[in-house]
Amino acid sequence: MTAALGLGAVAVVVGLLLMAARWALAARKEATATVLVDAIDAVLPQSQCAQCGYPGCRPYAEAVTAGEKLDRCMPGGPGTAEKIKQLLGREAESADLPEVSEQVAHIVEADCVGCALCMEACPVDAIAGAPSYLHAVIANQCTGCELCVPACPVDCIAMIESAAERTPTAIVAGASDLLPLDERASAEAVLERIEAAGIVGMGGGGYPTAQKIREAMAGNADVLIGNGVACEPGASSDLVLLRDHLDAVVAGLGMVAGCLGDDVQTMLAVPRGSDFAVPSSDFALRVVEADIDHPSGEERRLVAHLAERRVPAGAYPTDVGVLVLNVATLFAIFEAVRLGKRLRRRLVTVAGANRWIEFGTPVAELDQTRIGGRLTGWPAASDAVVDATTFCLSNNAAGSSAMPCIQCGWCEPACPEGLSPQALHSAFETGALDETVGECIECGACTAVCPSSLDLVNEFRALKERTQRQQRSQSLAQESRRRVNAKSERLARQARLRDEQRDARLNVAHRW
Amino acid sequence: MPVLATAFRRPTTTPAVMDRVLIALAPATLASVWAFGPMVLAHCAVALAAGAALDSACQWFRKRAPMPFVDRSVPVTCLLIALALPPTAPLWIGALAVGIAIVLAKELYGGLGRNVFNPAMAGYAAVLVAYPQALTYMDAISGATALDALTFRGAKTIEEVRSGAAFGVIGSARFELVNAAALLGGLYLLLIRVVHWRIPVAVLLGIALPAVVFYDGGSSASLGSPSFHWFAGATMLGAFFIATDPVTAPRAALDQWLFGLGIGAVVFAIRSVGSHPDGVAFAVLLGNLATPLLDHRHAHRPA
Repeated sequence: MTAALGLGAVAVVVGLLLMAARWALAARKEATATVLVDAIDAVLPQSQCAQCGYPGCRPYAEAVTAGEKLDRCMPGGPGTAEKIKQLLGREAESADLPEVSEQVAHIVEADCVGCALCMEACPVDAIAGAPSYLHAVIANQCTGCELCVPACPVDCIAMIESAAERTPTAIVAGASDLLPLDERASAEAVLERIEAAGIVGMGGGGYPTAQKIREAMAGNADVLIGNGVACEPGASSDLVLLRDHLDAVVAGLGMVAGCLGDDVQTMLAVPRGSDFAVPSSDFALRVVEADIDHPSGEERRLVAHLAERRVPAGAYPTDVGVLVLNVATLFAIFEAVRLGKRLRRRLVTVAGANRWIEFGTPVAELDQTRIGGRLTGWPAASDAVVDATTFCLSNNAAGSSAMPCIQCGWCEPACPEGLSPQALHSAFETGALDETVGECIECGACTAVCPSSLDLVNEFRALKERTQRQQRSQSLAQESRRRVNAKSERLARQARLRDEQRDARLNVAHRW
Repeated sequence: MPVLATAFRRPTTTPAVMDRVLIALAPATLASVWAFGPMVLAHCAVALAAGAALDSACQWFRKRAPMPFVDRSVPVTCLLIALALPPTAPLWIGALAVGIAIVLAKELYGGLGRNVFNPAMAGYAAVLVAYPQALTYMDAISGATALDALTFRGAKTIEEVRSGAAFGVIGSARFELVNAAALLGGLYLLLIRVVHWRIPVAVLLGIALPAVVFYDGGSSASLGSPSFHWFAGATMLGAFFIATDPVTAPRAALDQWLFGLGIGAVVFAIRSVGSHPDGVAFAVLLGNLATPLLDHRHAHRPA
């Protein structure tokens, strides 16, 4: 009896405390409401485009504080939505953040009459030009607010996909072969040949090789590393090139060394425990075994190990005076320079065996479902084709029998970059953003140890893209805001000037 | 690499991990049967059957294929509950505890990997609080347990209490055998690296340190020696099988030390000054409550 009364009393007291707390919090919320509206208004791009369904940015800020969905701002995009989310402290609204397709306005010049009405309509001054001349949209300033579209009297403005979303077109090699060059060819001739043959980084990066070498020359690179160490344990195409075409690879390395000058220190990195008869070369070459754990072929780890230089996150080896080229790239350079061959095929590890495969061969035709290997690969799209960066194809699908994460923590010591794959996985699942994902080198070590068979690397690739898109839209929103302010100041200045001139005219009239 | 470690290769999938935990639980189960009689087996059977049925029902409700025990953590939970119950408890209590564990403590939180509390301990603690009489070790076979005797001993000295039938060689009669078997299974888990040594060691230290501090040679006010506490009640099961549940334990090394030491200290406190004879379940649940807070210190802050 006493116990029941006691418990009842406790329940009543706690209930009253909770009521008081709720009342106090509600009062505080009201006081902070206007501050909150100001803060949200400050985040919005101020295009006043009304695409959210409210007459302008401030009305939307008020509405969103009162409970309107926070993904209504089209020009602001997911970046702005994320900021509003943080300001409001609302949770579990990630479902509200859609994948907004980034679009920009484009003026069809053939139809434009040069009326410049669109320039007035643009809130961020992203249309350049003058009346009765053709004018154009500055694509990377355009917020996609569509305000210029109704302003155009001849309907010559179309909304197109933003350039940031467009993937660079593949380099298409010409049909005919080129003339072979001999040893006397100058560095510039070699570089032009590399460009003409369409050679790109074949280790996975796909960066134009001539451009990379030029950047290294401009940065006075003094270390050149031929990378024959695979990033993917299942891929052996680089190893086969080293075994069967070592003289060609070394010759290619010599050509690049010739571009960099006499003082360059040249190394050929080969996997641990490999045994090659290195051909004699007319330049100082050191063959080194990369005695490091997976992912040993990863550029930054290789540079740290062989050149003892640290490549900061977000930087490239060329930034610290080191040029790293994959052995397949070096072989392609040799073929282009000495044999005049364009880059049209490559050695690919297909389900364990190595084959020369022409670019453009559909992955499906080779009966493979995964680009790359078990650790670092990703599921191939149905229309995927082999290109210069496809060093491996496989059928292993990580994540096919995935269990939930049980937070066993095995992935944490596995990560060579010291990241927390567990935290990144939960960020991926909850739709949150995590900037540390930028440091992920996509080596797949975490995928390898995950007992729940989660496809962690591909989750992190998606997370990276999401994070980058958010950063891009945030910086665009910031820039838009600056331009909106600049435009309203300019208009005010013009109005003031007009007033002053009119006053001056009127004064003259009075004197008369 | 040591020969033994290669002989017991680390499992590579989550179901395989749980299978090893089941194997490691076998000695403790056998010891329990030997110590408390065949009713233990009946409890295991009821708990496993209830677990299979409820797990399948939950999966069906969540529109997944209702395959019993695809998620191998379910039998682990059932077995831990069956081992925690006294053999004299009615069989339906085991089924009720499993129901609370699987449905309330796990699936309602989002399923495997998302539960805040260790399901087995949540289920056991719920029935322990709801049906205290049914869950006391009090019957013709065993009499009161050593922990009961210590809690309700009046003014007897340790020596006087120890002479009672409830006490064994180092710990508590019968329970010391189960604890030794659980320790054996726990060492197997350490060997195949399914469990890291940090949390079990921290829990055992957390019990031993206050026991050493308050041990006064066995006067009437003594709270029991460290070795007694290690081999009494559910100490070893708790240290190796329950506190180490990765889902509900913190991630960082320092946090795991704090977590384990805290659980050990609370176990000692409940045993010596609380009204319950054993406190592993409550201690683990308190530790689970602290886990999100400990993890939060290391949470990646989004920009």
